[in-house]
Amino acid sequence: MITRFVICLSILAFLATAEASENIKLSIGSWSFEDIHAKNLQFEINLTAQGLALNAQADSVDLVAPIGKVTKLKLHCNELIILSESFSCASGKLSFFQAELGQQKISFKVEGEPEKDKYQIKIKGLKLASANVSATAYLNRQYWRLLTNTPKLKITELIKASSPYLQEQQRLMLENWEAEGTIKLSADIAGRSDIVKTATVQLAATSLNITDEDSRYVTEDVAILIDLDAKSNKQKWQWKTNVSVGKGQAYGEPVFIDFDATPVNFQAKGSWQQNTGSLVISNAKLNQKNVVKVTANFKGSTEKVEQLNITMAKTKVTKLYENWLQPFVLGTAIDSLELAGDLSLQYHQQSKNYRLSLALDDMFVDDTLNRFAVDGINGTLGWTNYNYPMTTDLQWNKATMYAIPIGQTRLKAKSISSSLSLTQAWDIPIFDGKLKINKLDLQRPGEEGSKWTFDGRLTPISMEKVSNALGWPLLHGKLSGVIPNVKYSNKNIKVDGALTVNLFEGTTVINNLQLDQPFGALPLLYADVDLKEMNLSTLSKTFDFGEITGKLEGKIQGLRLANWRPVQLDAYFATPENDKSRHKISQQAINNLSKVGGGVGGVLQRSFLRFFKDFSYKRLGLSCKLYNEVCEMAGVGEAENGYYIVKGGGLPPRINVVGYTRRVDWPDLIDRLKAVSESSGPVVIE
Amino acid sequence: MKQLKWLTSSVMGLMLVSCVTINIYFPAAAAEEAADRIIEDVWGPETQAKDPAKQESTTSDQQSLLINTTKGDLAISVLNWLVSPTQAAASPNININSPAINALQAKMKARHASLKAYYDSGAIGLTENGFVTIRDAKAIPLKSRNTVKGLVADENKDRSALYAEIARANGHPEWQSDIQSTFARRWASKASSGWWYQSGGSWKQKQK
Repeated sequence: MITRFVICLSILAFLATAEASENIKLSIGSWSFEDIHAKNLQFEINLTAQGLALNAQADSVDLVAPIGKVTKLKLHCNELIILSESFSCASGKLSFFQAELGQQKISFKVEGEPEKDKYQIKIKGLKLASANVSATAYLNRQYWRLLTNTPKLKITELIKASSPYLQEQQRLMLENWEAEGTIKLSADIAGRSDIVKTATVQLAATSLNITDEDSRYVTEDVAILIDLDAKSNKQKWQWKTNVSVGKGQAYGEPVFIDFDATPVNFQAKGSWQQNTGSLVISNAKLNQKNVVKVTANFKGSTEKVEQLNITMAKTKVTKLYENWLQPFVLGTAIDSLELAGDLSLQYHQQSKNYRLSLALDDMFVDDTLNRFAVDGINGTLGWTNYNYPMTTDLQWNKATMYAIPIGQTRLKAKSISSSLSLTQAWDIPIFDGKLKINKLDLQRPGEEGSKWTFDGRLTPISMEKVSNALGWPLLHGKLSGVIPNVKYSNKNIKVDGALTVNLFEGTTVINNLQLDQPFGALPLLYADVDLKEMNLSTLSKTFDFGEITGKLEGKIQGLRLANWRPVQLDAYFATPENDKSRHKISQQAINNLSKVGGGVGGVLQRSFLRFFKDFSYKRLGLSCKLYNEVCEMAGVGEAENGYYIVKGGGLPPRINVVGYTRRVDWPDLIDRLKAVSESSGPVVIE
Repeated sequence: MKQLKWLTSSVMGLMLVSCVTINIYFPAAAAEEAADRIIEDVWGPETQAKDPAKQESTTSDQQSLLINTTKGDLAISVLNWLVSPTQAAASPNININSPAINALQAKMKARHASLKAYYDSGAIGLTENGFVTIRDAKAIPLKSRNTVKGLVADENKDRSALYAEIARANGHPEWQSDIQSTFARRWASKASSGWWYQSGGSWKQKQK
């Protein structure tokens, strides 16, 4: 277009010199040249000491899109020199008004060799986004080059100015974003005809404040420097870029980056095939200072991944978790961890198949809510959806889950087709026993419908250690069991089979064990417990309850613990009906049973019965139906206005203990039991 | 034979009654009181005093229940009448005094100290189904975004556990959704002025 305009000027200049006059004026009401239409066009050429002076003006000129209509056009050139093969205008001025560009007053300098179709144009003072922009253009037949070095341009005004030239979709997208800040652009772009061949662009944005409509992507006071070198050949672009963000803060849901503390640098090179959209990124390096260093290669397009390789070198896991992992796991059991140690990662993806390998080096994981901790984790973890396996070999030195100590262990497994299974039995030391897992199957973790199952065996664990750790009264015996199947799905763990505890010479069997949201807001535990053949003598000694002889059986049905405390149960404990063992109960035990039943202790000591050390009984027992913090109590039989806790029988002296309170507050009952178990030793009766 | 028939019909009748009583006698008023007690404790004394609208809604609830009963099958009404003395005697109550509920309540109360500023600024609001959500992310400094997201996630986990546990602890796990909607109404009703709550699908601000 400029070329055409200059040609016109040349013709007019020629006309002026041909007439050998000092002043030529030309007025044209309406003039059209190809796609250019002008109204009230006026030319005036004067002969001056420096050469020719040209003044041209038009009321309006219609130019091709995207410039369109230009009004009040004025062109002035003071030093127009026209030689046989060249012309130049050392100091020109152009002013016009255009809807989007507003009122413009541009200084320019033009040199041209029309025969060779070679021109050089320099402009100054193009008003763009409230700033004066300078640019230099070189034209050589169909080859061109444009150089510009803008001052800081306001983004708001730049968007306003560029909006007419954007596509509808891009414009709509921009309307939903708020953007403030400045951009400084330095560009050297060259091409042929309408094709850009090379571009060297440096873009420096400062005080960048961008936010989308929902405020999901936000930058605050960000400073970013982008260097881009690109060249094209047959629609294939080869490019190289370097992006540095060294100031401000950004949030891209759910990741927050503080660039002041952790500046980010990204380098990459690659190619882009314009007609097919195929994209290759090679040697991409992302470095977030003090946090993470990642290298990556990519092949594919913006729509699909053909090949992707990501490598994260050994990285301190503390910052990595805070910056890049924690935000994605908020609201889960692993959202408040303290971590230490190193982690490295390798990820390979080919189309939809991937392999992920994590190497853990002396890692330490501690849940700040004290639910679990693992110390000294080393090894590799492999996960893949390929149908050929990746190995996992992971070990830790020690761990805890709530109050349960877990010892050193090593997990050897393989992953194949989005599942993980053991390659050898996994022994997990718990207290002084072991949970021996023979089979483990883990599927689609982290996804909808993820589940794991395992079966194993619990080798004997001393109840002394369990009761110590859980703050229970000291229990003796062993806990063991065969666990045919444990299933985890939908935050629920179900244990098939029975866990057996050998307690007080009898057997306690735990059935239907279920854990709901074990690491959730309210962990729930459900179980049914059967107690058989327990020796009352051992039991009463253990709890310092006062001696009772005989057997005890019981059932706890529908036990429900919320937050590891019983909130619902239906329990009874009694001597079996056909128990043939010796049934004796001591004074102290009678006293204590009375206390548990809500009575006053020491009644015996105040009566003649104090002369008897112990008494015979036929049956004893208590039941409690706990619901709503109230224990509905009963005994081994109905008595007048009450129930028998101890029913006398056998050889005299006999004694009955009758309970009258049927509804007891559960906390009261617990307090009474505690008081009894914590009371001083047996009362010695003189 | 006659006896067997009588027994069968009695059992069926009892089953019907138990079914009907559960559905009809969700103790709406007691649930509201229970919810209010928890809310007042969690939010502290600054929450608004009971609003007059609450009384009205409770009465209208009762009325609609009565209407439903009278409109229902005659046999059911008769059976209701037959069992009503025990029902009336055991005046419907919602127990919220369990260690599990207390623990959740205490956690929510402690968290409220951190959440309050975000209720005040309108960054978070109360949803129509008894939870909280981020309403205006722009009102939260970038640095605190994930902290607030975490607080909101934790609060919702606790609320969800609370509604379920109140229903379970009262022996009616099936009440969970009723408890939840009772709470939803009460949270909104007791919200401090300036706080935002969802109503009919849109956000509304509690008037001063």
